[in-house]
Amino acid sequence: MINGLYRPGTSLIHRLPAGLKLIILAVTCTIVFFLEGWSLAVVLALTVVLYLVARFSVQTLYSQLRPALPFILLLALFQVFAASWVEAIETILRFSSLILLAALLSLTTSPAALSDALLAAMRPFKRFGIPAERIALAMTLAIRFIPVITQAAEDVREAQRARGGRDRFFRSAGPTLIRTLRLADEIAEALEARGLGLSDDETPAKRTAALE
Amino acid sequence: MKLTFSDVMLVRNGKTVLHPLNLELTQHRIGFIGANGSGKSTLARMAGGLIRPTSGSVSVCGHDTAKNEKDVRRMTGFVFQNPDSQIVYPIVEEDLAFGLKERGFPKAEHATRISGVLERLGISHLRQRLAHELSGGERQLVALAGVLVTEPELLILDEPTTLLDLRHSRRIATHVAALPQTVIFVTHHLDLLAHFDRVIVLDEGRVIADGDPEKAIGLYEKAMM
Repeated sequence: MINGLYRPGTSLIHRLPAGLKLIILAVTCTIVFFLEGWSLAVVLALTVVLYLVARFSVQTLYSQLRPALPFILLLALFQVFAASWVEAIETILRFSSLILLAALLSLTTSPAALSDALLAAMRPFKRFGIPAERIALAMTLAIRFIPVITQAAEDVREAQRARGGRDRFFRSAGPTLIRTLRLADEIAEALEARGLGLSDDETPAKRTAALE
Repeated sequence: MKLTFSDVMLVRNGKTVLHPLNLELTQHRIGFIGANGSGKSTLARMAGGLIRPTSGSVSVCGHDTAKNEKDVRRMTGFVFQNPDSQIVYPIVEEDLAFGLKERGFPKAEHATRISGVLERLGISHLRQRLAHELSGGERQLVALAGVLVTEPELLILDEPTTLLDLRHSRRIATHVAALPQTVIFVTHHLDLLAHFDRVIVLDEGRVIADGDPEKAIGLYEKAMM
């Protein structure tokens, strides 16, 4: 999903209401889980068509799938031994469709619209103490900071390469985590400075607890 | 606008960050300068109600930052050094709407207010852009817009030009100079304070100089030799 960031556009899929897209995604994903055989190939083909309707290139489509491919193939390999070739291919088709459909939602829906739709869906649960606004905000922040944290990780790896170190994921994970935690502190402070919670009657202590 | 620091002191993890100090700030343009770790950013955060003193009190227009935290935060805008931590929504327009929403501005006013501030800062073309695709200078302008759109009475800028090139530093300084609000500007770029009304120099948690820019900056430069 790292590449599944919103790309503004005017296609039919971009213009559909976020809530409707969320419902369609949830229903489709549930159905895809129960489908078998050739119908899964049809779903994947239709997903590709949806990408074309949203005016995305095959390259964009592939970049959504690429990070998950090793896991899908590993799962399929397991199926070959545990079940059969047919089930392995079904696994590839099923998971590719699910990932591509979810990515299409984030590619064509602005995070604010997505967060508003989630907020509307969660509103009935507010009476049970679910902090709907905070959950929606947390989701938006997660999307917003994917590129920032990706850049931080890249900076750390670059610094290690510049100092002659080898480019190893685990070696850069520590410094990246430290940077991310520092950034989290700064974001918390900035949210407070920008007025988070000023229009409701939460206390600062409650707010901090909700964010943590 | 009157800011008062009365016997303010701050201790963190057993270390005195700010030694007891008294200040009364009534000027329109106030600069805080000092070496790294001198306490200048801490003092600015206290003025905006983001940090509470260990002892003493800070008041903004008569509102105590500890007792009337929300009132102080409502009248204060903060621009930080790193715009990346300040821009919380991916799209510029949505980010500007965030501050308006949280501060309770009617939704009907959002679009007009956003257009107004973007136009004033000369960045209307960035309205629909993704924040992470902008240059550092553009991002800082967006961060400034995100604060100005809520029209705070007091604007606190904590090293807003440190990460910027000369052109964007000057651009930020020009916009800030034109603002009607009271401004507290924390910086290492001393030339940006030339026309300020008052400059306060901090060193190791103490005020070591306080006065007009020429005098205060002169003393600061001497202290750093």
